[in-house]
Amino acid sequence: MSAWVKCSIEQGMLPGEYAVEMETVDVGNISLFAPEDKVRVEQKLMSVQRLHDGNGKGVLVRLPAQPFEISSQNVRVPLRNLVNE
Amino acid sequence: MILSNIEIQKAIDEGRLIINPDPQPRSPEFSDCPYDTTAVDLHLATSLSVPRSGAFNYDLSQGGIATFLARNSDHLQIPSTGYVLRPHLFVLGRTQERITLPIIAGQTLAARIEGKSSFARCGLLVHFTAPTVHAGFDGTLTLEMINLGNAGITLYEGTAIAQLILESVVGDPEENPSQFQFQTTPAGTPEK
Repeated sequence: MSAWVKCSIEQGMLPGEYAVEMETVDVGNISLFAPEDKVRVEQKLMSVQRLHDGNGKGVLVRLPAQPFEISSQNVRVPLRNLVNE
Repeated sequence: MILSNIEIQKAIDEGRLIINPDPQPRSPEFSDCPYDTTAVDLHLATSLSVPRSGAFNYDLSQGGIATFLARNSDHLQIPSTGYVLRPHLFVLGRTQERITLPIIAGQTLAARIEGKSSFARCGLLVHFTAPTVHAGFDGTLTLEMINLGNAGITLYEGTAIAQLILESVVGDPEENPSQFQFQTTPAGTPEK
């Protein structure tokens, strides 16, 4: 299921991408370069796949690209930071 | 198993591989055919990003490295006269082609990006780590270019600068943990 996660968004290193920073439940803030079709710049949202709800430990989502700080594209994010379609 | 040029074209025709724009011409009788026997050429897009030097270190364990990299890079377009990559300079580029590797049961492909021997002889690396394009990928490929030679190398937009090697994936990859989350029988159907 698709959802949007709140994040900060800036211009990336190359056209067609944005530098994104976002909060996670278990590994602090992470950052990645997201394709432009996966972000809503004005609303500060990035598209993610919602995987499952995690029993109160944050919602597991799949990111559109690999973050720098961890080796997985799947991270837990606070429920309050998710916006459903 | 590495795909031959004929198998690469078949995969494109069947939608198991999407390369946009479609590499043409296919026939080796044309001098601009982008296919080799087991690879297809990829071309340099116009935008480059040059990370600045400075009194800082990259610490990937700290949050925000993507933003930091973007803020500390210069963005430029390759002019029609070409961009000269000076010795020992590191720049990022992109392929013109968008690559999509759909996950299809029993038919999934993965790929690797490699340089071209002609540029390698001049000292150019177009990637030096992470050559694998994983199953499920969709996007242009980022080129991590560095000139290890002793003279500048002129880069032009549209140059065939890299090649893509396609491989078949054995078994079906699990894309995410939810894919089989509600399957309770070996056949994947919900238990009654």
